[in-house]
Amino acid sequence: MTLFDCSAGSCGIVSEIGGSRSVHRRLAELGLIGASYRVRARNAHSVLVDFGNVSCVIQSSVAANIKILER
Amino acid sequence: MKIALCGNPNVGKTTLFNRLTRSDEPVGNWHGVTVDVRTKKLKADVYISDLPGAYSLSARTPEEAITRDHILFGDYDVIVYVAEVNNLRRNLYMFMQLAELNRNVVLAVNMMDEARGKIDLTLLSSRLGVPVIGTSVKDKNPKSMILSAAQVAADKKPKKPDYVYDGAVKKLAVSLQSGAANAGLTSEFVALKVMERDEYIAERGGHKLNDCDSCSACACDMDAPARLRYRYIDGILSGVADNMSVPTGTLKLDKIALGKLALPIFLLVMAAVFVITFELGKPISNLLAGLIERAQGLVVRADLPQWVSSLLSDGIVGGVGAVLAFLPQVVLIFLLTAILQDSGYMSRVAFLTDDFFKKFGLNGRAAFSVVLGLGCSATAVLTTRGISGEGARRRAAFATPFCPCSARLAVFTAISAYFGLSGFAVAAMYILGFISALVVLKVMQTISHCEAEDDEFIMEMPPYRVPRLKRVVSVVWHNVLSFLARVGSVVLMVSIIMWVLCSFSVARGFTGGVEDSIMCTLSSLIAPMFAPLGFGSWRAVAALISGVAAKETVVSVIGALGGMGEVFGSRAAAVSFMIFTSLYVPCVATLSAIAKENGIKSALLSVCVHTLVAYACSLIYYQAAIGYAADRGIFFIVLACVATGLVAVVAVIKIIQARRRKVARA
Repeated sequence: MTLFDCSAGSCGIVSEIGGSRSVHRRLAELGLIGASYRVRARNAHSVLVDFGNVSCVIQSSVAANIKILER
Repeated sequence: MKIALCGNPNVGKTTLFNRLTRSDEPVGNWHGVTVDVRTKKLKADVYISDLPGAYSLSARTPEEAITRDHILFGDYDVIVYVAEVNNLRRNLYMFMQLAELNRNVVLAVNMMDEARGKIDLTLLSSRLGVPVIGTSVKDKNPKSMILSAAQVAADKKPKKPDYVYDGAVKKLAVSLQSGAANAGLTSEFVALKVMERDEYIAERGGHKLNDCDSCSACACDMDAPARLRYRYIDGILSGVADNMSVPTGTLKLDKIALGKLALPIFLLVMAAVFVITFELGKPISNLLAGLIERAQGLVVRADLPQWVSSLLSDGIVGGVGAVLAFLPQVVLIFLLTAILQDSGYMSRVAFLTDDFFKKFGLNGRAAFSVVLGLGCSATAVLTTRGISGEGARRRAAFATPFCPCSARLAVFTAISAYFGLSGFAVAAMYILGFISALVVLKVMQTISHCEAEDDEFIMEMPPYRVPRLKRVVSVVWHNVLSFLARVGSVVLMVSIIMWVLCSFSVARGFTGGVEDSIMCTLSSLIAPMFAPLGFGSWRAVAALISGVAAKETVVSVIGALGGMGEVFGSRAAAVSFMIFTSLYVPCVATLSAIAKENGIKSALLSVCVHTLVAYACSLIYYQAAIGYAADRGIFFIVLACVATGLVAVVAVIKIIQARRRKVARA
């Protein structure tokens, strides 16, 4: 299951990240590997996620590359 | 000494820079406000450069590339790295890269007044091996603190992170030693960048990467450097800072602002901005206009030569005064947009509008440029640099000037006030400008064959904060000063030039009247082209010509040429002129910004497209208005034909797009 499949209120942990070289690197730089997440809101093309005390709006193509384990 | 000020986006670098240098560079509560390097003198022999925000020295946008190149290869002595107190873990990621590079660094932990937990800066300093200072807008000017920390840092290197001695890193670093040394970088830094598959830095360090684009296509472990750095950072921060989470206030407000009522709330906020701007600004504007009229009267009654009296009264006081009378509305719109920006609500707007902008090949980041464009189109065009995706960036820079700026607001307000039009007429100009921008974007998207640009956009969402009076006032002051500087320079110059052209004739010299003047002769040549639009008089055309320099001058020139009643024969003609002014050629400042971002050809194309769109919209409006007044039956028939034509155009665009998708799938 990926982050983009989650509904608002979903929470869990990021298990794996993929994507192109630059996307993967940026997600790793933001500390998402192994980070806990909570989906705060979502729309058709993006999702607003809290990773600890950092909140990010992530586009669908990126969110589809972030695999999660939902609690 | 040369100091480079850097850090993640939206940590307060530019606010700190402004305080240190007593400047008024633009700030905003979102990332992407600073798009270029700005250098100022701090004191004798000390210079400080404000760099665009970056999450890492592996750049993803042109702004980050500017910062990367300055840090890696620029000329400076000390880096002052600014981190946000509530986001230390993520902010220290780029700091670690500076430590890998063995650069002289000061860590400035900013926004200390907003800290959501305890923080031990002394412990942090001893663990990092660099001077660490705490800063906030509530404290006195940190200039002396930063200068003394920079002096200490100039003689001291940071502690090397222990992960640079990791087996894999060390082994790779040995093989990269000579290449890294040639580039002026450390081998450990280049080794970690090679492991991260950063092509640019790897090549600069003398290493060519294998050709694999996806992390799953080969056996390389791109995540290793990030895991190493964060493990180290977690160790550094243990006992230094409390674990923090998103403020509960922000979570509660976002439940409302981003919930089912999100769109109505957004529309209500925008409506409130317009209503407050016009209703609150009107009485003050009327007062100013009265004072200006009195000043003109005083000049006329003074015992001065006729040409001097005419120059001062009609040219300077009349011309510049006509624009200054609308300063209250301009100040109010700057103030309200600054409040929205500083509160953090504009980031929510970007999220809310992301789906909408996607339909036009952009993303929610474009909302920032649109809002900034309410103040100044030139600034808005420059901020499109922060949009990742070359196509999206170019389209945003091209289309943003369609949204009316504060200068055009002066024109709308002047015409509305004279002809008794309500605030809705002015709001309609903004809606028309916005719709025109969307139509142009849609056409560009269709022509360039691209679908909605899903350009790997990641945007940090700041927490809500009560707008800081000092910061809001600083933003408003900066924008008002720019507006007044334009009035004092461009508008004054154009007013004087227009007075000369309108008061002198080739044959008779100074005539004091506009008939038979040089401007009358020149404008009369092209005025007939504007007759179908309702304002085919040379006066209206003269005003439009002056507006190419600065839109505010349209008002001043109309004032100098006899006023609204003299220029426009009817209300419909005035509204048609308003529509044309809303959409035609951007001012020279905006055109030069477009040329800077997209090239000269794009700027020239912008002139043509803007003029065509303005002409078409004015023509449709004016002909519809006089058709309706003359014969309602024919009016509705024509309206039906126009609507059918538009539907046909939209259908053709959709068919072309569907065919392209079919071909792409095949």
